[in-house]
Amino acid sequence: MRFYSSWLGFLILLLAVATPSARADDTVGIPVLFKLSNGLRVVVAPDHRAPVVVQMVWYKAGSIDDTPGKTGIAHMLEHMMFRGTKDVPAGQFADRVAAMGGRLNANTNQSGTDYYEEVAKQYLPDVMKLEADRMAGLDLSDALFKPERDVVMEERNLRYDSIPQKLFYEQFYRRFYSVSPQGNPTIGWPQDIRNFTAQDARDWYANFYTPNNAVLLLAGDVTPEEGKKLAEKYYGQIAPRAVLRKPAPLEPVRYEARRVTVHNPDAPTQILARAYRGPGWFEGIAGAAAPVNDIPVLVILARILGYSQTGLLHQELVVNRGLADSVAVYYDPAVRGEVPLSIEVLPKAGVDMAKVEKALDEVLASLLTSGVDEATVTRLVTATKFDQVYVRDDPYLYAYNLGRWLISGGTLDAYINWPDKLPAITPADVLRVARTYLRLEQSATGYLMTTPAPDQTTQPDKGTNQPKEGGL
Amino acid sequence: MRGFYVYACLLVLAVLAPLNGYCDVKVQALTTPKGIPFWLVENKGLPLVGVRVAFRAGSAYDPEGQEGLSALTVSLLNESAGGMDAKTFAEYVQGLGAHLDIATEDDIVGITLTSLRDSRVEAARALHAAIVEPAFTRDDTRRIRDAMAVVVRQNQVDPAVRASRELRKLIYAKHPYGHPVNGYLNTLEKLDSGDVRRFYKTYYTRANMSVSVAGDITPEEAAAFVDAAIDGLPEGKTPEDIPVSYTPPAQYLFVERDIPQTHIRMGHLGIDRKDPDYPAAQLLNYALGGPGFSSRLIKKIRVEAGLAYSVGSYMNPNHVGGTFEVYAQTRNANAERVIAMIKDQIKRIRAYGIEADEYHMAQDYMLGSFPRSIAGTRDLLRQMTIMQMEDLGTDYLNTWPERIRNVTREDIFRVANRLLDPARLTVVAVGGKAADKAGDK
Repeated sequence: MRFYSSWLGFLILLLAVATPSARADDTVGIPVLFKLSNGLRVVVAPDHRAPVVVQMVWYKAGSIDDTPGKTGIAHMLEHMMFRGTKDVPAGQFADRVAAMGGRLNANTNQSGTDYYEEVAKQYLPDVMKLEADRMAGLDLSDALFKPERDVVMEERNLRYDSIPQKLFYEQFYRRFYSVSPQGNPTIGWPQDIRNFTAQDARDWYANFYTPNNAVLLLAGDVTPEEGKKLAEKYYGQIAPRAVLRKPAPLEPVRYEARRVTVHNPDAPTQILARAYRGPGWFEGIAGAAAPVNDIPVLVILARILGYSQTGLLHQELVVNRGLADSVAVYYDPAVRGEVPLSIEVLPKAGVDMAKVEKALDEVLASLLTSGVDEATVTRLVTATKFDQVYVRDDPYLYAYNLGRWLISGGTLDAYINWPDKLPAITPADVLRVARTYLRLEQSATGYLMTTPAPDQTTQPDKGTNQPKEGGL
Repeated sequence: MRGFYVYACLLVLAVLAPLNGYCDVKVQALTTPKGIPFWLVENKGLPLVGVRVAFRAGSAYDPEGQEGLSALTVSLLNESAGGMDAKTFAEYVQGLGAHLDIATEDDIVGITLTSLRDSRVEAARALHAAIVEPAFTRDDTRRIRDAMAVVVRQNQVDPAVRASRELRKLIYAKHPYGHPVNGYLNTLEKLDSGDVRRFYKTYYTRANMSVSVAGDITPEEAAAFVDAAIDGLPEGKTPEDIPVSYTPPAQYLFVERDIPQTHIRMGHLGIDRKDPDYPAAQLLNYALGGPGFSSRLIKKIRVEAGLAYSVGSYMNPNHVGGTFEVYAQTRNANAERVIAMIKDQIKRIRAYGIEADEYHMAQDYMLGSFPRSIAGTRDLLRQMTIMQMEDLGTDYLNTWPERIRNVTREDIFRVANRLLDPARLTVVAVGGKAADKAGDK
């Protein structure tokens, strides 16, 4: 769970004392956004404290764009991006970055797919050339595609099929959403992966991998002038294409509390999961306009419920009542589509799940009745605002967060400025927003039981998790 | 978090950048007015300060039968402390916009505080509460112990973690490096706050401590911070090293699990950071099983034979007695073949050394990756801790590129024969039935 906030105030202070032309003083600069003539948006976020640069490219092609029967194709393409082009034969991309001492990886998630390389500064032109090359000239021949499809199946075996918690969440989110592709695992259902063809990958690549559907971020030891020159040189010649995007099916409004129970004796712990439907920054529930004033309040509400040891649920369920070993709460609205506010409780071994659920509902009910005090809100607003300084301290994290924000529909200004709304949040706002969104008929509740299923027919097939992020 | 470099390094970079691509980080060894030694890297740019206090009190110091005590103790520093209950203390830190994190390793435990420059005085108070005034209440102890037990149970299910644990156990025989930092379920359940207090009293002392500071802070401000944070901690003494004196013979362990993939771990004792051959060992390891797609293990086993999703090796340094370890994941039916191929590659590198192009690639990698390894406050603070604890000197980072460049191919050949020994490799395989015959060869 990541939160963003403005540290622009600090930057203005820093710049005020810096000589405008002296780079050495201006060690961390304001990010600059510009657009190339082919539609590629470029952000340069200078940070000259270390001779290291992160290049990251985001494509607006995520698992929310996967079509029925082709779940996991966004992630499959991510794998193919490492399989070679005419100029950089199979396997050499990673080889060349490794030879520079660089770090690279890629992620597929709901909103898009991102690729990054972190290298010593002098290698920036080399990795930009490599990344631009695979934006246009990827080899998606059958000969390369089929073995990589096997690799993806192996990845499922390795990283999902043996992990009971992940199998549980896969079932849980498929039930949480009736029709939205957000209920599918990012890696895809096994039967879909098995049936992928190279043509599926070619269609996906031809449609989505085009500069006007991408954002390039350069964060680290690079100036906006250098960044612009390099971006023009390596990406400027790639021709744009029209993107055809079928709108994802919208999850209808519902008035039904759902339940999912999975029995798995291999599970190391029980899990009680609860998720409520919630709005994202760029789209509300069931396709409604995003209620942008509610979102910072929901961010604070999630922290009131579950931020480290101070969270209300931790205090009640773990410390005071001794029913659980840990509680976590997630709400990450900077994505495409709506986004759940979700709670995970790990009950103590042997504690009755229904008892834990009852306690959870009591704590929430008492919040909805009496609200929260001002000191709590103020403290979490402070923590949330200052966390943005820590995010900027890490060029990778900064590029990731900003890139996902931009690809999902946000502007640079909005990214920098939204945390300014945080200090105005009052306990009354929190209470109103909690009453709006924490409603059982908008939720699903899941049990992962460590006991054997009473009836074998209710056991799930071995599938995969609902991974929010799928790595290389 | 990345990137804390002093102003001067940009000037150095301007001259050296075309050749090197690394930068001189200036580490200062200082002493506070109250006599506490600490290391500092000054770095402007963001209004942040990071401080890491470490004690030689890692899981290697867990008494036998009390495995997990070190991790339990350090975890409890972030609970009730300084006259505040756990909740009040956490609220205090949050209200400052600061973070207090703990890390537990084999040799050391680290307590890291990151704070805004402007709230550093209040943040020093929080660090003092955690390090000098922890309460170790019975309730906190029970709760953290239970949370650790959950992690232990989760790790038992994860085949990769299981394989790695079993390998360490076999390689280190009776040495405490052989047990997991979180201990075992049956040792955790016996630990109480009295055990924690005894452990804390023995090891959390000034003589057994290192302090590292990095960020937007002057030497005077840093000294005041450290004095405020450490005030009142007793002098104590440095614990004796626990030498790794016994070298076990090659062993084979198969753990049957109903899963499609077998997780393989192989290894034997390795090398320490202080060893003059350490840079050569890192270059050797890069050529054999380093990251990327160019290592011999990746080329032969993943790229050419298509046998494994991942395979690689690493040199894991410890305070005493590091390890050399190889990991691989493959289908159950291929496990036996993959193990044989790994042994074959180790034999070859011992017999023939590495080629000129492998040598240059390894050096390029080590030099290019170097800035990344010290590029964040946390990364830098961790490096500074190791440098202090291992007595490597303040210029260790500055001389590292030169030491990499000075290694010859002959050195690597010699070190391959000194360090690697296929006959001594212990093998652990966690996977399905077809993998069981793997160790017979």
